[in-house]
Amino acid sequence: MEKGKIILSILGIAFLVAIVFGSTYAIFTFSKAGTKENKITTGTVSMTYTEGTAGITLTDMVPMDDDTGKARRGANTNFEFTVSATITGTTTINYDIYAEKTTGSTLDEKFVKVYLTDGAYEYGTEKAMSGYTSTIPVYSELSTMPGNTSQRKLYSGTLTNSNTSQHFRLRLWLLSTYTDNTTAKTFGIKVGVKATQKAS
Amino acid sequence: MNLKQTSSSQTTFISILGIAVLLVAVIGTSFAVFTYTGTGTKTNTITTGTITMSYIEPTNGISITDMMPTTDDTGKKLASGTNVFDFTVSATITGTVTVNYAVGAKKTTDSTLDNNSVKLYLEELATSGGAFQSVVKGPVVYSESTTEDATTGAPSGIMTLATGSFTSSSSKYYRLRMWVADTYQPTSTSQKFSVKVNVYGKAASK
Repeated sequence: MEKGKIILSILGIAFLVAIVFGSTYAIFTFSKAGTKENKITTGTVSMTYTEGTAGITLTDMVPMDDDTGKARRGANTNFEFTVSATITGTTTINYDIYAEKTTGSTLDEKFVKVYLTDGAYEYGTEKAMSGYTSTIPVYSELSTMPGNTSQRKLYSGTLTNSNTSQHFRLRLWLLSTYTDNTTAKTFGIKVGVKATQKAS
Repeated sequence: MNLKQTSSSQTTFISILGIAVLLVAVIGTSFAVFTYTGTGTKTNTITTGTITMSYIEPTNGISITDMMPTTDDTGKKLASGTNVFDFTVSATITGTVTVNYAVGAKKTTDSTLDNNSVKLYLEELATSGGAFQSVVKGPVVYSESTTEDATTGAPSGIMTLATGSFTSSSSKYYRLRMWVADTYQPTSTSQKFSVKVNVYGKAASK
């Protein structure tokens, strides 16, 4: 009997303790999951650089003045290429057209004239690109590309989703004041594009 | 009567007297020699306090398509409409209690954009959709917690955007913005990132 009373007392106390401690833990909790989706999708960018079927190949070239050089047309006298981008979203792609001299070039860079026009225009109505409108530079006068002094910048431009491509026409000729006729020399370049996009 | 007989009688008498006294004491005290009843007039009452919380979302969440890498300066200024997500966390409290809460963002399972390519930014507003009050979080890339928060009840696996507490009935107004980080390099494939905002609350233990 006594033992039973003691057990009941202990159980009662234990129950009381449980209630007391139990009620000090969260008596209130809340959790609500949102139903609205917050979503972003990225725009897309892809660029292409397309070259014409043939590059410039000029053999036994003689010095010529700028007016003659600018008007040259016909096979292998100019090099056409296109820079284009496919863009979804609003952004500006900055690009540089550069030229890199090929190995084996023996002609001094200061004797090569470089002329870049908008290839969308027909011969005779061409528009010179920026940097070629007033004077025609020689290759050595072109600025070097950032981080690579063996590459020279031909042109800098931008592409957007409303201006998605630019067609170019490149000409090279021998400076009119070149006088070394004793040794045949060569000069070759390859053209490339570098593009960057800045966050807005 | 001799001495022996006298002693025995006395003993008997004393015994009887003792028993009588005992009986009177027992029986006497088992009956109320004095009774009193005082009836109280004051009511001693307890009523429970109440706690309710609510989380109110707008009609639409953020929806930005074809988003290009965006600087933080630009992202923080994204205009209202579907470029921002305004929501309200409220508590109604009667009694003395502190309710701790957390606002968390949870990435949806169909997100393809890397966590490090998304910035989240939370402001507190003065009123619902109203004036800027303070920056609460970010801009910071999406990052989920690996542990639950015992104070607020927020589970692990969410990105905690804000924590706070209510001690009386009040509301907190927030504005969330989200954008593509300026370190992201777009490709020819569009990526998606999506979060839902959840709210958790827990009364502080006493």
